[in-house]
Amino acid sequence: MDIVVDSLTYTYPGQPGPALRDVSLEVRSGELCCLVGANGAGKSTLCCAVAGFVPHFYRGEMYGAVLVGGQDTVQSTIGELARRVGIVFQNPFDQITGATLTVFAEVAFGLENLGTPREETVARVEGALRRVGLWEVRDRSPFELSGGQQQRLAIASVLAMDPPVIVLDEATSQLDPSGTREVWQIVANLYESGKTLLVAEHKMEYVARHATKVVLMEGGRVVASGPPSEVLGRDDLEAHGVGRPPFMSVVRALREKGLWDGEVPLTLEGAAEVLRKVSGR
Amino acid sequence: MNPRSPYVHRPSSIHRLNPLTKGVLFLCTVVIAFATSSLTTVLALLGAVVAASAAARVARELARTVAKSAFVIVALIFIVQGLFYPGSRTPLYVVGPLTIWQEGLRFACFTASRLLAIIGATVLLMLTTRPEDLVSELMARGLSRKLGFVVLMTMQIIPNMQARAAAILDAQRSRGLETEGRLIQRFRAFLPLMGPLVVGSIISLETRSLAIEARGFSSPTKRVRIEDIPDTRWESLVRWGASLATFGFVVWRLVRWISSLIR
Amino acid sequence: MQATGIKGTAAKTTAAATARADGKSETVERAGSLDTAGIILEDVCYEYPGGVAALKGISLRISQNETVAIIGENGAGKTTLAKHLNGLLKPTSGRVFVDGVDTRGRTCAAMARLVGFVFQNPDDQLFQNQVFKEIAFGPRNLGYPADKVERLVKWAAGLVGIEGLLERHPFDLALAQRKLVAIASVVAMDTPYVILDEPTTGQDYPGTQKLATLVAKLHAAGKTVIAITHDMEFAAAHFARVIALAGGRVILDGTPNEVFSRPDELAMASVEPPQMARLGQRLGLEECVLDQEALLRALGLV
Ligand SMILES: Nc1ncnc2c1ncn2[C@@H]1O[C@H](COP(=O)(O)OP(=O)(O)OP(=O)(O)O)[C@@H](O)[C@H]1O
Ligand SMILES: Nc1ncnc2c1ncn2[C@@H]1O[C@H](COP(=O)(O)OP(=O)(O)O)[C@@H](O)[C@H]1O
Ligand SMILES: [Mg+2]
Ligand SMILES: [Mg+2]
Repeated sequence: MDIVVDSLTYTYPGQPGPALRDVSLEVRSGELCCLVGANGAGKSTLCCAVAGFVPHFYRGEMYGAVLVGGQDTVQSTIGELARRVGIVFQNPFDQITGATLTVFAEVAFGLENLGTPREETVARVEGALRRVGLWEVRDRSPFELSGGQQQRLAIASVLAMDPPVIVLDEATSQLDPSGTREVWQIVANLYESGKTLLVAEHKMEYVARHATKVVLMEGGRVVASGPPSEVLGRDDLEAHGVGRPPFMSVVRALREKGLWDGEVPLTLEGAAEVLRKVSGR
Repeated sequence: MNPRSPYVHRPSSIHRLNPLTKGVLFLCTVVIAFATSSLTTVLALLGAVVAASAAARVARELARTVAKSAFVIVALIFIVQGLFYPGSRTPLYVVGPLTIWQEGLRFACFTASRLLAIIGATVLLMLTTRPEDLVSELMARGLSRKLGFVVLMTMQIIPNMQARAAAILDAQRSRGLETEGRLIQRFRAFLPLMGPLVVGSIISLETRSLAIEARGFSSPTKRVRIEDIPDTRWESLVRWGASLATFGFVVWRLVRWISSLIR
Repeated sequence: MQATGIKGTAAKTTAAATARADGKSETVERAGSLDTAGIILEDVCYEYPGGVAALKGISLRISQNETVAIIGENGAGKTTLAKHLNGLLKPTSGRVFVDGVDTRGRTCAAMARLVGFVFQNPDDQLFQNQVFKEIAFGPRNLGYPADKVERLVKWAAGLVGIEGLLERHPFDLALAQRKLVAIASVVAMDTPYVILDEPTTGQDYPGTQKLATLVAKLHAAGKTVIAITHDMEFAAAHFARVIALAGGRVILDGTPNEVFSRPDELAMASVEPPQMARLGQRLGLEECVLDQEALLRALGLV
């Protein structure tokens, strides 16, 4: 199921200027597209537009179109869209429904709403909780979790619903390093199983490693879009508010010194390989 | 216990009642408490609430919550009505320039008991019923998603406010405002916060509704709960019986009222 | 630019700071020993009312003018620990001293003169309807005169780069900006101890740089800065001491070099060393390298 954003311009109600300006973007089925850019660039707004919360929930003024699986989001209801698009919002503290009393029930809530058969719900909830490492705390209240645990809960809730399109808005911001790695591993597996993924992320190490396409945003516009090597290889990356992963910087430094003239690798292991060759170790 | 929800899980027959039954009994209590003018009836309702809370093993929680939420207002009722109830004729005590009237006290007793019965019934319902269960059960009987949503959000208003208030107090203390200690100090800290508290609670309710929507709450399919909520024939009988009795009571009160007007 | 209040604090603490400028951790001394300056935790345990045991015996000493990064897995107890330092939580058993003051005997508001704490979730912290008022709230409570309050607000807003937002409503700002407001509102109190719970969360590259500068400036002003973070690059580059928590206990405590050269213990805390250290480890370097310069030097490439 693919996402097509066609010259989208959107203004939040009461705001002087648009948060998105003439944004066009295509994420094909089975693609892993990462949104990068400074705070306020419009990443979250774009994520919300794909999930239909812009404009259904936030209202405001929207021009252009967003199609998910060929269907216009403006024409669909939020309820229908929830089947097709799962979204993890950027603020983990905002994602607890408050309707349920345990971690288990919280993850089950979405599946219940979709009318999933009972046995399947129970199995899927267990699977999702185990994947994000919350199985041990399943009987606790969602409000008795640490920040990172709440973020894991939000991710589990969407994983359990298993929609064809998954949008993650800085979903690893509060996770410990292993948690971040694990979630990205889950993302990579989802990508391999053919899901369409749109991921806003500040942790460039993972963007470089996993993205099939990187979209650089600034001031509500798409500045660049292409494979990670191209976008993260831009000389002006930092000027757009995005930090290059340190391992890429090391290899670039070698290139500047004339010690290396090959590709800049997209993984830490790749960089280690380059360093090994160059230093002769 | 959930810090955001008053629900207390205990193995009791009241907890096991179908949420709809509890909801109907709650409504009946509220309607009768409003319709009646007899102290005996109100006291009977109050007694029923207390007895039910004992059966549900939440009597202590009920007492604590009701005391916290109703203490000030009950005290005010007694002071104001005891001293200034219009048409009072029988003085009971004279304390300096103030006279406490018997009629005033009786009226205060009635009003306070009525209030306590209503608050007690509300708290008892919240202590023994998971919001999600009540809403699911209502929706299973044809309540629309929209209304279900409204009920779900409404039941969150108070816990949300409490959580928000606790958060604000923590934020203030951490920045040097004395919020512990004497009542007056706590009050001073709290008064200027009513505005932000309301605004903050509304915003947090809004984000909750965002989360609920993202989980497909308004999806057009029929909800399937992971747990069955049991219902029995006799519970249904109780519901019908209580509703009819309450309806009868209200009609009877109306008839009495109208005939008193005619006479 | 520094407010005058800062200089005062700096002068007061320099003596203690030079005494342990090495920033190394020490064994816990008994309270009542000659030197009570700094934060001392003695076998602190904490259990939440719901019964979750979050801290299971933490003993630590943090000296004045140290910069400490606390790292560790989600749910390790970092936030719970931080809330003990300003008296928001009181230990179930054990004791916490700040400059010789037992937190059990003080209200949190009294501790706020000594310890400023920035919440993990800015929405738990912000409650005023204007950014200026929000930042001024703390200094006002400390009883500073209006002109000093204003100076502190400007200074703090400048440090985190939100001078332009002072007239706005905090709820109109994006999450990352609200976090900066929350940080400024604590920095403005000009306390000798500043605790930041996950300051870099959700910040973009320039935002993280700004926070790094903030840590350096607070340190230079003589303050003790303690930051909880999941960003190992940030922890390694800007803090002299790193403490790793797991399961409510301290499992590593030392300089970034010491801590990040122990990948096995770090894995127990669900933490990975920074990228440079990982590169060094892959290349079989003996020593722990934390920045590009050190890595290239160790490989003989400069
Ligand atoms: N309000 C609460 N009530 C009960 N338990 C809680 C509460 N807050 C946190 N906990 C639990 O206490 C433990 C420590 O939580 P804490 O918030 O200190 O973790 P943390 O190290 O800050 O994690 P994170 O990196 O995710 O923020 C965890 O097991 C958590 O689930
Ligand atoms: N709920 C909202 N109401 C009004 N303006 C908003 C809202 N959310 C974001 N904005 C504004 O829209 C712009 C884009 O923000 P956002 O999409 O959050 O960017 P990013 O996710 O890249 O940080 C910013 O100028 C921001 O202030
Ligand atoms: Mg965002
Ligand atoms: Mg925390």
